[in-house]
Amino acid sequence: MSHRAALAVLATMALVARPALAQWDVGRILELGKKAAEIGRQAGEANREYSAEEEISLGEGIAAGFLGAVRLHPDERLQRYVNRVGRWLASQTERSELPWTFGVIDNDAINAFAMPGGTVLVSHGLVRRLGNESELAGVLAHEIAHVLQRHQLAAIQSAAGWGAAANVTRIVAEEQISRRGGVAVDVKASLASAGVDLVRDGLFLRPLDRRMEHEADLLGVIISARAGYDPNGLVAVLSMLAQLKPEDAGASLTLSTHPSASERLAELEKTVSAALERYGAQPRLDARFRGAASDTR
Amino acid sequence: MTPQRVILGLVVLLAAARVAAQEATTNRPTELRERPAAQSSPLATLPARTPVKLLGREGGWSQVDAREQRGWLPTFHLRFAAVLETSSPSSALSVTSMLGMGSRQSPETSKVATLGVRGLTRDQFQSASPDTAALRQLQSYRVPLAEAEAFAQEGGLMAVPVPVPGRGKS
Ligand SMILES: [Zn+2]
Repeated sequence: MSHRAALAVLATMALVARPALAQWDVGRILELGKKAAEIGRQAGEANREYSAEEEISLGEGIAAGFLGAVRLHPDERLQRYVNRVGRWLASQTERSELPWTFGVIDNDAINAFAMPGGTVLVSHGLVRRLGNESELAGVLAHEIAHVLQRHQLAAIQSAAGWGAAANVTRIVAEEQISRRGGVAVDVKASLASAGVDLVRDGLFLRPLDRRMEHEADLLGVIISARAGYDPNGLVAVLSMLAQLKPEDAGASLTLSTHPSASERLAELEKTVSAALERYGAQPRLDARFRGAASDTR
Repeated sequence: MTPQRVILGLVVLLAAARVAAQEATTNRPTELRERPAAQSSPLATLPARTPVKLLGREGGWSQVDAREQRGWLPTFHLRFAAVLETSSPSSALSVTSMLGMGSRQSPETSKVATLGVRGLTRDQFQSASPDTAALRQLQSYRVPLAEAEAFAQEGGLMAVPVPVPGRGKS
């Protein structure tokens, strides 16, 4: 499928039909362009709010672009299991209503990714190195926290001078104008397409600010504890990462885009040791995890 | 930094990592315990900087061999060898350029680990066409909240109100 055709399909999928474009008026378009540029500039500085719909469309574009590069793992039972764990964790947060979507990608490196709007992908390489469900919960809760805090969006907004990011900011700015009576723009399709460009331009190769990573770790612990898991699952995963030898780490974008595991452990001890201790006797669910994640290929 | 220097630096780091792999030391004086629980009986008191061999993990606990004894320590009481701050020389160049870890990077991000990337490369992302069929497939795995709740109940997971530290209840 051509890029354009795929985007058209994507747009249709993501779209709750919008009114057809109003009749074009050249003068108006020029004015719109100027306004958009102006708002785009402001948006680059201020922390613009995205609507949940915008966030979801952008995230779907990012996910579609991402899945163009990496295959989903074929084990549907595992996919369903990860969705159950993830959906349960997400229900313990203030954004329970997002269309939460979890997936395992068929890749043996150690990776986990969060996309705006509630899509979280983990690599099979990571899943197979986990010991129990509370460890999986720790990983998913960390990624859920990135979504809750809109970390990717903040990173996109602050990446002034990065073409694909500037594009997203411009599209959202146009949407604001159209809401105030400007020309209706097909913002969902544009955002989905901008999401694809973000992936091509290396969105997932860019590290987030380390403060965001520490915040996601802290919230990950809290979310796991709320969901009834031993929140030390994340501590266990970090200690596993800290012990990886270069040859078995196989290369991980997660590791390369995150602060070191040792640094993250030290930060967790500083910020949430009380919760880790208090809820440390909650279930870890070893057997259920082994049943679902035992290697099926 | 010249490519030669990058390689040289990584070779040196790699040599250090090989020696330290899988090992850890205590980062404070701590009790080695029989089981992974604070109320379990102590087997020995280890001073800070005791070398240990890592055997396993269980929640916030690590199983270790230390001074000819096997027992459990809180994971927070360990300092892990920083094996990931290294890469293999063969992948050093591509990774360095792939992650943009050149002089443009702030010292903060450039000290983050870089490893050879197997499976996911910049090229792969750059040439990707959006796969909408795979996106639909992914979205078909979503589960309704009620299913997730039943699943939690089956596992004996009970929702607990846990506040975010410093934010009060939310
Ligand atoms: Zn993260």
